[in-house]
Amino acid sequence: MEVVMNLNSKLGLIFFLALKGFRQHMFGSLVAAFSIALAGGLLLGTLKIQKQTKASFNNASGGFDAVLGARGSKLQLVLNALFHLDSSPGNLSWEQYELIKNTPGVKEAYPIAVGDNYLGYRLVGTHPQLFYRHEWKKGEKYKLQSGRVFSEMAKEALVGSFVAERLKLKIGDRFQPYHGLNFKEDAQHQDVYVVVGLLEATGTPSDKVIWVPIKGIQLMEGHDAEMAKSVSAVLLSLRGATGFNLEIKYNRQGNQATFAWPVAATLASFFEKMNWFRRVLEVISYVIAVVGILMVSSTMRSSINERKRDFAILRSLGSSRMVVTGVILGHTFIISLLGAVSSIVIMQGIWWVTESLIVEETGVLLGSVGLGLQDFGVLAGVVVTGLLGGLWSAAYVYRSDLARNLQPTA
Amino acid sequence: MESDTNSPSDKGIHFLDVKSLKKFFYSAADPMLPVVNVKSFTLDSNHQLAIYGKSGSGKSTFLNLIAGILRADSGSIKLENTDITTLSETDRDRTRAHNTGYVFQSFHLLQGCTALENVMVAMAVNGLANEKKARELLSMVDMSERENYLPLQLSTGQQQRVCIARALANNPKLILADEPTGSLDPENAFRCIELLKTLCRENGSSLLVVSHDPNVIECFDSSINWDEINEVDGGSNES
Repeated sequence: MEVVMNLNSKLGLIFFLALKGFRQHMFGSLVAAFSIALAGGLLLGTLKIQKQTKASFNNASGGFDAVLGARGSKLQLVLNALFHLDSSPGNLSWEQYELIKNTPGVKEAYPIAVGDNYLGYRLVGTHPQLFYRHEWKKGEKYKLQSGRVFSEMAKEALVGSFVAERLKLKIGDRFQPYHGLNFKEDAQHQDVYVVVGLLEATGTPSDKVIWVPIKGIQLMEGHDAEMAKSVSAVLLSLRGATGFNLEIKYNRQGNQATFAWPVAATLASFFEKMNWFRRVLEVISYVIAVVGILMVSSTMRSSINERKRDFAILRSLGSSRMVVTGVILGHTFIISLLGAVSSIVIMQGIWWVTESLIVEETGVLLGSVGLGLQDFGVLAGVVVTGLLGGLWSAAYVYRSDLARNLQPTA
Repeated sequence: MESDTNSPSDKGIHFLDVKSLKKFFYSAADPMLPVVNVKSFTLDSNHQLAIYGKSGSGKSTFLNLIAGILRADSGSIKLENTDITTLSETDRDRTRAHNTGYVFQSFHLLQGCTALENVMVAMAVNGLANEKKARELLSMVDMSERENYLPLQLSTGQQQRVCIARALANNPKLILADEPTGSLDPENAFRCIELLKTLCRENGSSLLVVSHDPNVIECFDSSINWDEINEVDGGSNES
């Protein structure tokens, strides 16, 4: 006999009969559980992805405190210089790079130049010291999978791990870059670059970049002569209150450049702009939750239509109204619990798809997903939502006429 | 009216003592349709009695009143000296679970539960689920081999035997049987009644059967005409 629970406790009896009801109405119960799971998974996914994306983007700023670039939007500057997204707001003169590099309080300053790609992946020109000295995360310097860092004056490339994997690039491979940030087949440069090193994965946008010497971009065949004397941006690590002073100098008093500092604050404004999207997803998940409640309600209603007699039988055996009501709520609880557990699976699915998309677009790795206290609150909410769907049916069963449902059918 | 076939105990205290019991049903056509009007009815311990009468005359309602499934409009039903008409619904449920076993015409087995589980659930309602005893009961009704079958996989005769085993699950002092052979062929009907009588005797339970079938009535030493104890004018008054 498959009875494993303690039938002599009221709760054991209730769950035994609720489980029987679940099995008898398996299809409807599963559909109801799925609709709840969808709502829970979407809500959980939305909350977690937003939180983790913020954290991951903040961690993926490459260990830089600020970016100096042409006059324009701070957000565009940060997205372009650190995340290799969006277009460059313009160029800075080499002198400005030299000036900020030698400013007291500036710990590190690396110029970058952008404007070319290879099969859609950006070429970023910079100084090779970036790969020797800079910590992209506290205590973490760039590591090479193989090969070496490019030389300052050679047409050599150091390839990010994501690009190397996608384009199957290996040491010694040669390629001709294309002009512009987007790949256009007819815009290929004559210059030939050779792959001299492959970087280890960092889970940051630098994985999606082909790094070359800054002189390579500046002096690329076909580029404007002015470009040889300018940089796209300067990536900065600062000491103490230098950021505050430079912010006043560049943003309030000057009108030649934009100083994006602190990077986290600029990113926060980006996520604030994206808040509407989160709200849309939240509203969708609430709508699905309502559908879930209706699905549970409908499943339980059709279930009690078929089980009225079973409940009357239970009453005739001496079960109280509370027990038969408990059976309905128990059935609903099983559906809701299954929905809540499944919502974690759905959330994982949403997470996996989203992470793939974010890595594909930005190179930022979201990392593993775990459940926190807030998530258990959401899961409890999923269970309560499901139970709401069963309340009406439970009330109906509670009020139902025992004798009437015992009338013979044969 | 008290039946001759109902043997009262020497002290005048009966196992089941019904007095001035009235039950009305309410409808738009007839706001107070009398269904049951029994002045006096008694049944003693270990006694077996059949009540016969035509269908739809209120016999099932009478059994439901005794079982505490329905509430009387007036009168008293004393079961072992406890007047169940004064009890709350919860107490009536408890009393039913402890003292009464019910055998229905259409068996009323839980469709999602096997034969064994049906018996176990009846025990569990009372907090006395015992798998070994449930198996013994099914063995007594010759259903051991099919204890793990669902009701739909059983014949009507087999379902009724499971129903009898379930009615005996809690060693009730009173077994109520409402047209227990109504769905059975004559051969199975006879076997069912004999089984019920034997098991009630062995278990020390009183048995009260209502039926419209003369063949069932013939199986009992004591029987009573429902129309003689139910003083309701008019024809059919079953709800």
